[in-house]
Amino acid sequence: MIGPGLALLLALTTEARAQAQLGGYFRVQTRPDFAGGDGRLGYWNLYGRLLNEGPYGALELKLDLLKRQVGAPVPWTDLHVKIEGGSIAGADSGGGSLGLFRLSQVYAQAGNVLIPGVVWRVGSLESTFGDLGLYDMRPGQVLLDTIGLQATIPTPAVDVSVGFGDAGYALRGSRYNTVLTAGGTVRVRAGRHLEIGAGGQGYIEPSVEGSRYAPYQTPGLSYEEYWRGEFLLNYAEENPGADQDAPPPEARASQSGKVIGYLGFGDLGPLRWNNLFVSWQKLHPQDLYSETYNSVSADLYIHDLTDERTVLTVGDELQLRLIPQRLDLVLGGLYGLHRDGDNAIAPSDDARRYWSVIGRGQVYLTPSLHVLLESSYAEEFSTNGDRYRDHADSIFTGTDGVQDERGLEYGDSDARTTLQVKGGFVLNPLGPGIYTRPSLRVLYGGQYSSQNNAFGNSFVETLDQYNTFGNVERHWHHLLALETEVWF
Amino acid sequence: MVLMLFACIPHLLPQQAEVQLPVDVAVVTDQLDQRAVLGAPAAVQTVLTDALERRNLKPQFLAPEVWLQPFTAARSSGQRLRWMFGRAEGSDMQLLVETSASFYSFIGGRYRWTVTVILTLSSKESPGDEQQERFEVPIFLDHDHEREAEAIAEAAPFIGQRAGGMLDVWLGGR
Repeated sequence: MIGPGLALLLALTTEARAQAQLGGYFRVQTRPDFAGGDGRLGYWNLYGRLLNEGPYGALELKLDLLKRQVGAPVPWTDLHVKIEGGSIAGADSGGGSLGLFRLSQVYAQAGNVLIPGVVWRVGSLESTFGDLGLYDMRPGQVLLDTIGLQATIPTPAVDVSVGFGDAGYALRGSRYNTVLTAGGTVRVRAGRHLEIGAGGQGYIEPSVEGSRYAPYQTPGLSYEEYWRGEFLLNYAEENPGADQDAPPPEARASQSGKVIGYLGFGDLGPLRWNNLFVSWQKLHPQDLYSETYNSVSADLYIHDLTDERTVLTVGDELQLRLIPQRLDLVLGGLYGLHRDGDNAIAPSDDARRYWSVIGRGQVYLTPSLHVLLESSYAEEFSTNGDRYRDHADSIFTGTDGVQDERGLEYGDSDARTTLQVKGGFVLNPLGPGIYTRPSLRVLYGGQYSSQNNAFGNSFVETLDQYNTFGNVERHWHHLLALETEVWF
Repeated sequence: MVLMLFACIPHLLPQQAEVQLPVDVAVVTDQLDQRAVLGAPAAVQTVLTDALERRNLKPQFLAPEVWLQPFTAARSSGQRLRWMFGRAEGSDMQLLVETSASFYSFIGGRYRWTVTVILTLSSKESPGDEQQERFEVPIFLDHDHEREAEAIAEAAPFIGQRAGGMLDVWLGGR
């Protein structure tokens, strides 16, 4: 996985090495967890990235092949190679395996070629309006899944970026089928205090006659059969002696897309900056799943069962400098609405809504010694019935507390409420700033969740009489953390 | 007891000029792809003032309107330094600080910039024997609207530190 990047580094000539720069990001932590957890306070970043993320590393090499000049608009070109992954020896179960890292981006850029002031990019594309730092999420981002050509025109008042290419490998992996995509962003700056942006990306995956990896739909396959994995069983019962294990799939063409909006304002008194992102995405239809019945396996195609999934995301982050060099505050909010027009029967990630708020304050005792306090509150709702287990014996209950062995619900509640509180000391050698790095942190984190054992754990959930470990009812979760985070 | 032990840690004091010396200082921002030069953010002037005064040197910052035109025409550090020495009211000692910033990449949710700094120090005592230091500082900014000026301002503490070190070498060798 990491081979191409290393090979490139080794292949560089001495002169080229002098033109190379290395940037990156690392975070590593130990979080002893005496509650049987895996070292993360809760399930995901809806409650804030702090204490809910694991280790991570990213290295980005930038090689100036023709260095950009000061004072003259002459042609320049550079090469970027980015390697990233989420495992560090001793910090997670992956043992720091390089197999968990990937060559995530490779692209070449050139400027002042053909058209002065235009930056051309070929390879891995990306265009973003920024980051929700408290959540580590980027709703205002397009083209990240695309290999292609991008042109960016940056000016003091307006930035325009357009790109096109192929997202087939990003969306389909080893079952590659060409997915043509095009997108772009426009950002308008009105002085120092206001920015407005809009953008989008569209995908088209055409039907390809004869290709096993093109979009198809297996006729007669219902959502419930897909969900339960019982299509082959029903097909065999309804078609005894049929020539085939499953009917031949019908060709389809897939379309999907994303629209994003951005509003930024700030540099006004204590308000440093506010980022508001809106994103609406129609997810790309899935291709297939496999079923086995009577020792026979078959691929069943599900284009029509996965082509009405949408995601609306609204996120905001407000950065305040309340007392300069003494106290900063960052507030964040996130709302998500996942809809699935094909699924009206089973709770899933595609049929839910959620919202959360986070506040992080940092008091600067000295320029480098700080006190951090963060709290978050979140509510998640499953729109297709119960999805969460509030109690250790929830496995026996469904809607209205009635057991239903053929039911599609999971657990005894359609809502999960989570409260997290985190605090501790931070050592920032480079001075004040909530996002100043490197940071060395000693933190405590506590979580209360309406769900039982709402964190990654190794508990046995079955109520089977042979479960020798027993079941635990636990809604509070506590962690101590020693961690560091650095951008360089 | 621990605090007493901390007191034993040697503190490196900066070199001091025997008598207070005036130093002409010009802080320039060169722009990528553009010929025009700009003044640098105030934060750079602040750290340079501190670095010079701690060494018993008196900074005399040249206003941008004085050097904008000649520095736009003169692109090399040597040409600019010669212009500074050529001024009738110039001091015996000159410090030229040339900065520029280039966007590197969007990494881990932050905008990484590279700030390039060239410090050149010279005196009439030893013309042609100037000290020069060139270094790059990686800077991470939170937002896209923060550009070259913000990146250079973020690099100010590093510029002050490196300028102080260079002044110590120069004063130690006098």
